[in-house]
Formats: sequence, C-alpha cells, structure tokens
Amino acid sequence: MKENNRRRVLGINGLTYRVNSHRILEGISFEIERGEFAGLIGPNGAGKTTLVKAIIGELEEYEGEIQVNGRIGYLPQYSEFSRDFPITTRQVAAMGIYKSKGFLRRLTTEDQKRLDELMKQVGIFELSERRVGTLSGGEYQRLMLVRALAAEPDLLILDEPEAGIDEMGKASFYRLVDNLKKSRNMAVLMISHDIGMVFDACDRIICLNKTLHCHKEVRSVSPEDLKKIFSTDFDYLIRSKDHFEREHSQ
Amino acid sequence: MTEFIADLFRYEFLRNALLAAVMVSTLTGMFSNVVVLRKVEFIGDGAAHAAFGGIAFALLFGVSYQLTALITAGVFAVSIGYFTRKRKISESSVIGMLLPLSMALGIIMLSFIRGFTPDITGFLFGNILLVTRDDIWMLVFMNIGAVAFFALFFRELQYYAFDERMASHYGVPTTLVHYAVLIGVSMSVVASVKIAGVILVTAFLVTPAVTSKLVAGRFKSMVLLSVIFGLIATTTGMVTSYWLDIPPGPTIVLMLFVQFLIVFFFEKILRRQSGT
Repeated sequence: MKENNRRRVLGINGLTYRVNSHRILEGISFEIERGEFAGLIGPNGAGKTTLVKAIIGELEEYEGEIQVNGRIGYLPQYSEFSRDFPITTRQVAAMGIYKSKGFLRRLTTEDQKRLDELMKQVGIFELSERRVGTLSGGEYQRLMLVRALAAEPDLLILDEPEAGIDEMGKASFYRLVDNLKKSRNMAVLMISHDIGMVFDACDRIICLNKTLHCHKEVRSVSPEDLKKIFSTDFDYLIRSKDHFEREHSQ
Repeated sequence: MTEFIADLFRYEFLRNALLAAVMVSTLTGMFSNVVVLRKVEFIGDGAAHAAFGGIAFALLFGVSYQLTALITAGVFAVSIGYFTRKRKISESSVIGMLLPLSMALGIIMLSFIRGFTPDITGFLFGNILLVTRDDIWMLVFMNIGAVAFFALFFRELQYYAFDERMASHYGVPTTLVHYAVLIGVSMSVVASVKIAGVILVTAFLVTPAVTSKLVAGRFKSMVLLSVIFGLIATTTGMVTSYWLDIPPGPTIVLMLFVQFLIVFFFEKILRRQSGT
C-alpha cells in the first residue's frame, strides 16, 4: 500500500465540475503512477482541457479530490504568440525554474548550466540566444518542453503537443518525451487528438467524454471502447490501424 | 539653440518645464514597454480620462489636483484589475466603460462651478506654464519608484508581459505585478498631464515602445531604448516648440512620431541590405 502511494504521482477521486448546472466533468476517478505514459483522449468538448486545468490548479469550485505528489511540468496547447516579443529561448526556458528560485532571485551559474543541459537534451541548445519569434513550430514546442522540464516535474502534462509540428517532427517529439520519461522516472499525461500517435507513444489510455469511459493499458483498449466516446465512426479517426491489427490479431 | 539655453538660465518656468518633460519621458518610456507588449495601449487613454474626473473634482472643491487625479486614476487601475480578473471581462471593455464614465463625472462636476469657469484646455492639451516645483518633486519620486520597480521586478515584468498564464503557473506573482503595472501607468499619466495633457498622453505611453520594439532584441534593450527615444523626442520637441513658438506637448508628440517613422524606414532599409 505504501509502495503504491510512493509511486502514485496523481490521484483523482470523484472529480465533478459544472458550470451553471451544465455538466463538464462527472465523477472522474483515476490514478497515474511514476514511469507511466498515459494518453488522455476524447472528442471535442469532452472536458480534457478542463480536467488538465483542474490538475494544474487553474480551476476552482469543483467537487471531488485531486492529489498531486510532486511537481507538475505543463506544456500548454500551442497558441500563436507575439512573434516580435523581445525574449530569447534561454529566457523563456528559465521561466520553468522561477518557482524553485523564488521571488526576486537571480539565476546562478549552476541554473544556467542546468538549462544548457536541458536544451542540449531536447536539441535546441544552438537556438538558446535566438529570439523566440524566429523559432519554427517544432522548435517552439521543444522550448516549451524544456521550460516544463526545468521545473523538474514528477508529472509532465502535455496538452496537444503535436499542434504546430509536422508528421516527422511528431514522431521524434514523442520519442524524445518517452526517453525523457524513462531517464527522469517521471509520469507523463498527454492530451492529443492524434489517436494513432497516442496509441504508439503511450502505455495507458484514458478515454474521456465528460465521464471516464476507460482507463486501461493500451493493448487492452478495443475499437469498441473508442466508439463509446467518439460519436463518429472510429475508423475515420484512427490513423494507426496497423497498431490495432497487430494488437488484436494476437 | 543658444537662445534657448540662455533662456533656460533666465526663466525658472522653462527649467521646470524641461526638467518635467525629461522626467515624464523617462517615466512613460519605462511603462510604455509593458503597455505595448501586453497590447493594452488603450489603458493610457483610460487612465488619462479617469484623471480628468479627479482634476474636475479638485477644481470644484479647490483642492490639490495631483492628489485627486492620483486617487481617481488609481481607482480606475484597480477597477480594471478587479473586473478583468474576477468577472472575466476583457480589459478593453472595462476601459471602454470607465473612460467615458470618469469624463462624464468630470464634466458634471465642472458644470457645478459657479461664476469664473477655470480654463481646462491646459489639462486637456498640456501647458508647461502650469508646471510647479511640486510637480518636479512628484516626478522625481515617481521616477525613483519606477526605476526601482523595473530593476527589482525585471524578470517578473518580462514573464508577465510575455505569457501571463504560464508565468503564473511557474510561480511568478502575476497578480501583484498586474496591479503594480496598472497603478504605475496611472501615476505616470497623472504626472504627465501638465506636459502632454489628457488627450495626448497616450502617445507618451505607446510610441516610444513601439519604436524601440522595431530594433530591440531583448526586453532590457527595449526598455533602455524606449527611455532614450523618449528623451530625444522630448528635448528636440521642447527646443523646436520654443524656436517655432508652438505648444510643447503636441510638438513632443510629433517628434515621437517622426522618430518612429525614421526608425521604421531605416530598419526596413537595413534589413533589405542585410537580406533578412
């Protein structure tokens, strides 16, 4: 029991959230353990982003309980930003260590070295002094990943990280996240509309459509599980058919 | 030019005016960066109109206009913060509502003044003859406060302006920075009223940063350049206005815009030459 608690980085129990009696989330309960790579999927309006907001503490007045054991690193949805903002890649990455430094504290040489290491790991070190506005979509997402990792998270939350990245870039991004997860022994919770990639990258799947429809290992998820949450025919949504054929022929 | 310098030594009002204009440009130059990067250019206008309500109150009751204008601009700033954060109304909407409200209250109060009606054009368009020693001292203290705020909260201001939501997620005290910026902008506006006037003060809070943003690669250099651009425009504006015998506030505003045009086209030519 104690071992379970030590491994658990996120525990959600009976989470319900309504806006003016309109149901957004209802009775959500699940756990995520250290070392897990969980994919959160569901159609538009399923409550995925609301759930993440509740986890990272941006939502108030919900029912139920959310327990986070450790720090959270958060990679938000890609959004257009002011490309002429005078800020460098390194300065944005340093935002991730603000909390550990504290109010009004300057970065030390050690902090700069740590940022250098992270940028090298994620492959954007040579861009460290570039203005953020000159980065491509993929480079920007990698920077967001560095910023999230700089917080030394126990749980890394990725909100549609594939946005702004081309197909080749997506595969290498997910590989990178998987390697980082293993080397840092953290848990990853990823929201994505790219179901094929979710099935390839994650080891557990959380199906959400206002309520929790499934939370199981990726190999146990059937097309029927997904049909329950998506109103359209699942065949149109799944891209990685090979994965299903491979898993269900076994 | 030599005549201007000679008159500077001769007339106290001119020395006061130049000193005030220089300090207004450094003060507004600093805050203009946050205003432009946060895309809340409307806020200067709003604070200035809010200050007008305070000025009208002072004229009606015969009290110090600095204090009442500071109070109304401060209430305006805190109200923006309150309504945008608590009730999720956009900053532009709140400013758009409060701006005419304060102006309307000011006009109503002015209508109660019996007999001699004070000339308010000086407050609307600026009047260097109105600058007093007290104004200079107020500007000195505000500049010291603003420099200290920017030096201490530099990283916080940068993160707040770049991405407030994520800055808050990573522990930056964004609410504190937000209110401090709103109050700082309002105080800058009140301090600038005699030089720029309620109508023109927005130019002081927008143009220097828009110009510096064209060439600055870092937030730090943007802040420094904004102050420098503000100082150049103020000094050349004051000298030009004296030379041509035209109002200094509007002349400074013209200089700010000419400076913007020069940097805009010069930067374009430089880029074309370097092929970027």
